[in-house]
Amino acid sequence: MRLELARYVVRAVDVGARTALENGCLVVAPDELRDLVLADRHLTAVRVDVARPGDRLRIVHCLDVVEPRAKAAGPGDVFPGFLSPPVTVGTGRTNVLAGAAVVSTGLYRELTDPWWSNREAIIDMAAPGATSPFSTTFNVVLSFDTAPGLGPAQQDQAIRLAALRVARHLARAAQDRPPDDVETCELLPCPDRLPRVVYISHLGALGSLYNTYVYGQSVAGSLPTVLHPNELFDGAIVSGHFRMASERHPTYDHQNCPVATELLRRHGHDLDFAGVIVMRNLADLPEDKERLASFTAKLAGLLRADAAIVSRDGGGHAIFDLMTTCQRCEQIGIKTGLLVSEQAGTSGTDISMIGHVPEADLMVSTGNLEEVVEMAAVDRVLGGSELLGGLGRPGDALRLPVRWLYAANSQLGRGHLTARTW
Amino acid sequence: MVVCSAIPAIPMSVGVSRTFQGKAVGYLLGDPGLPLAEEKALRARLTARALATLSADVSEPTLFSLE
Repeated sequence: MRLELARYVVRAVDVGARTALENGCLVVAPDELRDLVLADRHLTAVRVDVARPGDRLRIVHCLDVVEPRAKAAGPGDVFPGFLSPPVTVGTGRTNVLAGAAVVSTGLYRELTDPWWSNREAIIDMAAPGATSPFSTTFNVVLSFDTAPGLGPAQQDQAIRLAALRVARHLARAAQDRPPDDVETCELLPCPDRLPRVVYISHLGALGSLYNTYVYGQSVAGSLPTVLHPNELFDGAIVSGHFRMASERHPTYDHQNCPVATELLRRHGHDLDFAGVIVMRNLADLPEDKERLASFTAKLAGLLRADAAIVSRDGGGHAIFDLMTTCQRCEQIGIKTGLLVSEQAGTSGTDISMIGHVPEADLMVSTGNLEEVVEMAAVDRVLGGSELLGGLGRPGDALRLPVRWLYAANSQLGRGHLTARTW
Repeated sequence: MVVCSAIPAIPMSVGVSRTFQGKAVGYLLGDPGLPLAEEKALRARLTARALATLSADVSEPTLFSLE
């Protein structure tokens, strides 16, 4: 499986009459996107805005972020199972608008049980609140009106499809143009015996509006399976969960999965990348947690892994999926390292996770959700006219824990947070 | 005290003396997949068993379950 990722670096974004990519500037045509999106009768209106790094602007009610990508050659299409049949992707050539991002926003308001409604998720484009990884991308921000009478799940699916369509449409502007660089991604057999490393990506599925999709299908009820990293780069994993903002895994982060990317780059040099195991986490039943973790460790063993890197998805009892996976891998001789966020209180000294196992002797923190971030007043707010959960007025200067900042604690490791000792 | 938990590792790791195995994270003392009459009977059995563990003698964090 050989994939060329052709990168077109986007250094500016603007609004115009026709979609275009000129000298690193992505021109977005709202009318064109409107026609594209409103072909789906579930959506009745779409607003298109752009947000640039440094703009005194705040995006609220973030649902998902998608990187514009389109297939230039090869079987299938990006986001298989959503925009095309679920044929295996990851071969051929894919155009990437690197530095650009499609941000979908919305609010599933009519939900009767607030526990399942979506939670606030904020991207500040200007310092000092620019803590989200998407504070530094050139963003195309979409907000929608949905047709009357639709339930939350239907609204969610319509908005997800719209964001994916827009991302593909924008990337098609790069067709037949010379890219800034091309990266070839493949897993050739290693001539030497190198440590064989598997990447285990936990994918959250907790119920309605908390889902992750592989080839268009929710991972709820699924057993772990194996993917080639190239499939991630072609959008095989799509996000659909709207709870704790800073711990969400946007589709963008799966497309740009830092662990898979780094392991692939080091493949054949100092390690042998065995592939990606995707495992549903946050199962409700203790026996399901055991089944999922045990199957994952077994697959890692069948892939002849010497070591595993596991990234958690979400919080709460997801820690036990993480710890059980770690324990089952270690028990069959696979050295395991974990990527996990912390809830360590505003001072950072509280107990940061609600459980652990002795085998978890290598953990990398992706930051403390409770760390407080100062956010300046902004001139414009996109995505909504309020902040959910009584966090304040949306345009004001705010002082919030990082938990409300979209994907800022990404347990896939794509965050901007760093630690400092003094 | 008895703590009912779907994930006994949490209470046991902080030294709770008696932990009772709950059914699931979302429903500790029941099972919405069962017909209502059966579920009510299960709820009663689980609750009675959880209460009974209060009188058990324990010397260290101990896990109890319905069976």
